Amino acid sequence: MQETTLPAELHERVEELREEHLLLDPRPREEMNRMVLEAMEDVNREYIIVMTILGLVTAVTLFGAWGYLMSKGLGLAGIRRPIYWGLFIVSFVFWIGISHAGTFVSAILRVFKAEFRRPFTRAAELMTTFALAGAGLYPLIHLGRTWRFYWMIPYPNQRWLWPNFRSPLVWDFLAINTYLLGSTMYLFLPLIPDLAMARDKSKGWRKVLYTILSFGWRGTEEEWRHLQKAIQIFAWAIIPVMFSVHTIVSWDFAVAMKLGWHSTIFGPYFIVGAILSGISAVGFILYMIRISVKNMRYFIRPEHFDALGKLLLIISMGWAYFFFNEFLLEWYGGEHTVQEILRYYTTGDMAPVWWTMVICNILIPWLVLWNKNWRRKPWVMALMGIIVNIGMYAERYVIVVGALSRNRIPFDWGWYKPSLVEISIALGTFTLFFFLYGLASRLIPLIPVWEVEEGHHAHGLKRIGKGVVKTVAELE
Amino acid sequence: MYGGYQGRYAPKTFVALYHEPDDAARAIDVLREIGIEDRFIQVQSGVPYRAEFLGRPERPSGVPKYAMVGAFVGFLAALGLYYGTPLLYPIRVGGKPLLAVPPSFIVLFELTMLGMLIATFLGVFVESLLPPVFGKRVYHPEVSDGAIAVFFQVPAHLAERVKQALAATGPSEIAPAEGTFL
Repeated sequence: MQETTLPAELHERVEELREEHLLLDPRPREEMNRMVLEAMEDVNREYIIVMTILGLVTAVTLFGAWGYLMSKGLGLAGIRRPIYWGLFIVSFVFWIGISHAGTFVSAILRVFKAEFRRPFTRAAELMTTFALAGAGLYPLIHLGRTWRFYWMIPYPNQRWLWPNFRSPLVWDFLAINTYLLGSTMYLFLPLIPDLAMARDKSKGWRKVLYTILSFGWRGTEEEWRHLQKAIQIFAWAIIPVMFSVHTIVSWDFAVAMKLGWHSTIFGPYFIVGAILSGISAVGFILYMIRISVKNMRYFIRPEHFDALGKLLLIISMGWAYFFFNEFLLEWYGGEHTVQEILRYYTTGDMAPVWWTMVICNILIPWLVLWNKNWRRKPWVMALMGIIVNIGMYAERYVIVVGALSRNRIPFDWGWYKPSLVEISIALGTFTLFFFLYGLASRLIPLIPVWEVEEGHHAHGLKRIGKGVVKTVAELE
Repeated sequence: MYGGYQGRYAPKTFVALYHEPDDAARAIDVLREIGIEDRFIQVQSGVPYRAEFLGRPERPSGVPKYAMVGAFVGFLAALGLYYGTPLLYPIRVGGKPLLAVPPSFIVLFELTMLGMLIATFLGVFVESLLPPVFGKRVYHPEVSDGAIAVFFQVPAHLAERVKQALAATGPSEIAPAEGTFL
């Protein structure tokens, strides 16, 4: 719409809309490229100090502790009969959950053509890849004798004995690897045009790196057609893969004849939980990017936090629905051991963790996220990211450790206290995640510039009567 | 059209740069009116434009075929792994089937999807001929800055006429280009 045709009183409204919506506030592509490249090349003293600390902490707490665990044996972990699964499995489920953010934000919002996704799909996809990298370590750590991990790989031993494909361990191996490979390819494909842009604008080692990674991309009609078709296929195909991964993780528990685990609702319950933790983590990461990476305030605006906040509220309600379903029916069944497990959760020793879960996943999000003003505050959404993820970690702790603590006969009851090695490794994967993310923020364009520019082309203003509204053209 | 032509008929490649899709679409119309076929025109852009926006011929992508073949290969691999490998060294457990059907769906699904995703990914590179292996290809770095580059090949003796005709479509630059379209 030509602004010159607008009456003066509408100019202010137009300016408001521009300030509010990134896709109504276009800047020349050259300038957006420069902003993104500046952000990548901004390796200042603070960044180096933070990365060095993260790297050292990761080396000591994760790899150091893991090496120590391997040298001394799994006995260093706090897991004892009857609680054979502890923080390693809790953290494994937690990181698999976080990994759902990228796919949910990127693929599902792409399928539904939700325009607000454009500037932060890559930030979310990166979360998927690095969260999976962290999650993938835990089965190896939990093995104890990590060097035997290749026994899970589908190839035969010298007696032609293959892995047992009916085992949930092998399902995990297949699902996690499919998801890791799929989401990494899905991250890489839309990155190619931006890497080509970086290739054209960089010098020195960066130019060499981006020349290799961009594969000679030129932006021809053929290249775009094939790329877009592939992204479309990925967006549709990765969604069921995402669902399958966390369902299979839930079946690690649910296929066991263990009271508190053997539940038909575990698949969808785990998926909703994963999306809840993933979406809230995206809010936290976007806040960190906005405050710590140069020029990102232009790309990531309160409108994006608002949209994520709405999603989070809906998903939190979904999680509460599944949680209540699971709880109510188990309680209603009246089975003696299940009653004891539920008592142990709600009023027993596990109660502080259980109530943390309820408060962080339901009470706080519901109290906060109904309010648009709060949703639009980036720091509030960052805080929600931390709170919900504390709640989700607590949920996994309750499911893994809580259920194992109570069995049919009291002789088989137990108490779990995580050892220092377990706590150290669990913390180490957090620092590993932030270290990898920090590294990636200076190596690849965090903002998909071509998608943002496409969004600029698609969005416009339309005058209706005495007002002005945002319009979107379907370009994809 | 131009294969084997030499001297004044030898093909020359040029690039006309635009900043608006409307202008690029008009330029392509002009080139076509002069008699340059679509296969001697190549458009490069920093964002995807549908073929209809620029008045270019619609061509389906071959990537879905790769996806289907990949899915089929993945499915066959899963069948072999799930139903074939237990027969190589049967371990019979009382009351349990050697080949259980329900869990097979998990393995079949994961490997089918894995095959499809890998093949789709590779399909982009194969279909787009990336990375380049046939020497230098035409490219204008301003494409990264949002410009639309219209490359065209014309016989040398028509070059001036084409450039004059394109001047009316508002290009920011018309210049000779080096390389192939591949």
